[in-house]
Amino acid sequence: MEKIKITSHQLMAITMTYVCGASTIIIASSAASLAKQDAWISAVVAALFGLIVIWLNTYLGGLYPDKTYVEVIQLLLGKWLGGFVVATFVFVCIGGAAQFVWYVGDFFTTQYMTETPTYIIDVLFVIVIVIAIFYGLEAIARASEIFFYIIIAMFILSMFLVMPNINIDNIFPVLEKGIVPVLKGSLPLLAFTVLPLIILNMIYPVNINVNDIKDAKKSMLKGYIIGMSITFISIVMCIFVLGSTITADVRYPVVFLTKEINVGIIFTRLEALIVIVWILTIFNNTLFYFYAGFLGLSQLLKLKDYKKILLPLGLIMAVISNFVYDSVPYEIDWDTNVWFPCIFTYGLILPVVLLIVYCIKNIKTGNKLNMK
Amino acid sequence: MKKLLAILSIVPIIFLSGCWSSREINTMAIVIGIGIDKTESGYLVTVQVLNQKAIASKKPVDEPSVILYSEEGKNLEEIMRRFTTKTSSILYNAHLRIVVIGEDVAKDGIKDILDFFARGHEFRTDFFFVITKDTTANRVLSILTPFEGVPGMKMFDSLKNSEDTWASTKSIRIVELVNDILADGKNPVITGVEVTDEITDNKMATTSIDALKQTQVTNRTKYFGLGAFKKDKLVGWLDEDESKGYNYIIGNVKETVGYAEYGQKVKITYEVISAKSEIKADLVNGKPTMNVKIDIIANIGTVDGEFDVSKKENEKILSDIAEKKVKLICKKVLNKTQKDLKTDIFEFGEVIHREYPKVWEKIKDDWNNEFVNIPVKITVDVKINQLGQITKPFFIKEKE
Repeated sequence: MEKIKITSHQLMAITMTYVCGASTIIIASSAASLAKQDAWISAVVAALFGLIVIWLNTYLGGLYPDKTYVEVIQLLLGKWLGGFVVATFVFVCIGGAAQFVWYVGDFFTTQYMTETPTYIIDVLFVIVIVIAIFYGLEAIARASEIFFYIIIAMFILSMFLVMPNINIDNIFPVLEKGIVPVLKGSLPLLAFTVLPLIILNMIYPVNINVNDIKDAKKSMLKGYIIGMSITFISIVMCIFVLGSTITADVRYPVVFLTKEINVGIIFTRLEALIVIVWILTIFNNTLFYFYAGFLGLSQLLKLKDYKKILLPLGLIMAVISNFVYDSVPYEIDWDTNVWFPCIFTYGLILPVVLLIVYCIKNIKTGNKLNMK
Repeated sequence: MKKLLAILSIVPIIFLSGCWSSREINTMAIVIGIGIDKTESGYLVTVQVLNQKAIASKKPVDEPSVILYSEEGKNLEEIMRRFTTKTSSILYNAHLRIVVIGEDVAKDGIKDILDFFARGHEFRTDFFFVITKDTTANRVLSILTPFEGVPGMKMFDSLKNSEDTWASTKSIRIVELVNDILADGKNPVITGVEVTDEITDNKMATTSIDALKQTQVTNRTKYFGLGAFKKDKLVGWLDEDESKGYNYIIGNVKETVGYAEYGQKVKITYEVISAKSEIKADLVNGKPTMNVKIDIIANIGTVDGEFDVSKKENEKILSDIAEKKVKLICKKVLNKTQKDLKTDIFEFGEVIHREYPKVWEKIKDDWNNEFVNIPVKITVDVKINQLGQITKPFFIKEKE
């Protein structure tokens, strides 16, 4: 196990890029298709719910400051059951990472390079990820710190430039169909931004200095709030500028949104700004999924030199990414019907179960102590 | 050995990564305008492609700045690909400025056209839509324009300028157009373009193109007014005054000029420098009524007749006659849309939808019939701001 420690500011940058993650340019579409013009309320609901999730995660992490999530599972659930759960968790992580790689390939082939095979783009992306992990967590954390500022600057700039196109009427009437569609609309947001936060438990708090843990909790929360505000702003702007129906039907609504930028003669055709933002965030997202899967696997197998499985695993991911989704309709169906229950199990039910198990164990040992 | 391998694998990545799907600029046919007409078998698509030779060369070239290609077929995607059988290079659509839709096509519905433009990855969202009146899109695109060498660019600029300074047109882009069609209580309008015959002095036409030189009569494209749609189908035309009235009601007037008469002899021209409108819905006995409030700030343009605009007591008269005139224009367009075209292009339905969602729920299915009978109250408030460089007209007799 490497003894790399990261600072709390780096943790904040990681959390922020991770929360934006895949969702920056896609999520507005699925939220708006369910909640219509109230999708921005869905974002608020999801963000509030996320506070509970993040508290749960950090609490769980704080119980065993020197163990990763995978080790905690094995410790609490026992060798066999725990091993089984970890194996499935690793599978979900690698699969999820492959899905993100697929997104990247799909984005570039629909938007820019239609003739290039997706496979080439996927492989290039995977190579970068493998190299990043090869350099270790410290390099990743430092890169995230740089990304953090680039993302904020580019995002704010592009949203600022699209402001002249705002049509405020688009969000009225508020709560037209009641609260139910709003809650439904927050589900995709939960599935892509909030619930995957559990994966950060692979680095928190193992890679934090023990003295900094309190600080780290705060910075994680800070990163989460910044990330969620970016998601929120992107959804609100989509609805303001594009209207809820177009937002719901466009595949990459935020790119479509930034295509609308038309300020003076100079500030036009700036959608590349948001593409850069998205590439950086999805890169971090994929990276941590892959890192979790890869670290989880090596800890499950109790490998000494864990970097040995990095290359084969990267190859596997590159291959999976090519066929993880059959087609776009399949992807849409998967994201709404399969991914949510899947991440709900690992991101919320599993931590709760672990906490319950922890409590029961504690009561038992506590009782024993009392008896003694 | 290891180093060699690394170099061998890294060098191609650096130098070749941009080569897949790359297209050099001289292999692109940059499309500026697309025209869509109806034929028996489907569509006739005309594309206006930049002639790079004429535009980029430093020496004057005796060639038009654009080249037209047209092609027939069942659907747009298919036609756009079939152009490669005629052109030397593949069409590149990211610089598209204007889409001209033939009148016949617009009457039959434009949903499939909008889908095509929204789905294709090369199309951006910053081009305008116009429809032709009494002519075909092919004809409109084939007219060469002096001054601005590229007709598509001319149409794009002219539409923007006329909207900003004359207010009888409305530039509409794909996002707004799709939203207008989608909303239940709203219908789109698209500016109409027609072809006019103008007698020009052939010595004045300074382009070197033979077609322009030889004819005494020059054809020009001109924006006519607005075409009113019901959902995605064209149902009728608004003339210049009505289009202006429409823009007054929806608050799309930035600047314009209008005149009003006072008595028999006095005619005053106003420069509108700002106009705002506010549309509100009210419930009277459970039935919605519309209130349109238009606030205008205007300067005096010209005074024709004996009328002292500089006097304080005349200020009221000045704004009164202007208010009446604007009200008249707005009433005219309202009458036409309610009685004749029967389509809600003013977004009244959406206003009710926003303010009284429950009432809207009841009337939304029958909105087209409701709209015809909905009472609309228009209040206009004109504020006279400046008089221009002179105060009292010169040619006014001082009364003793």
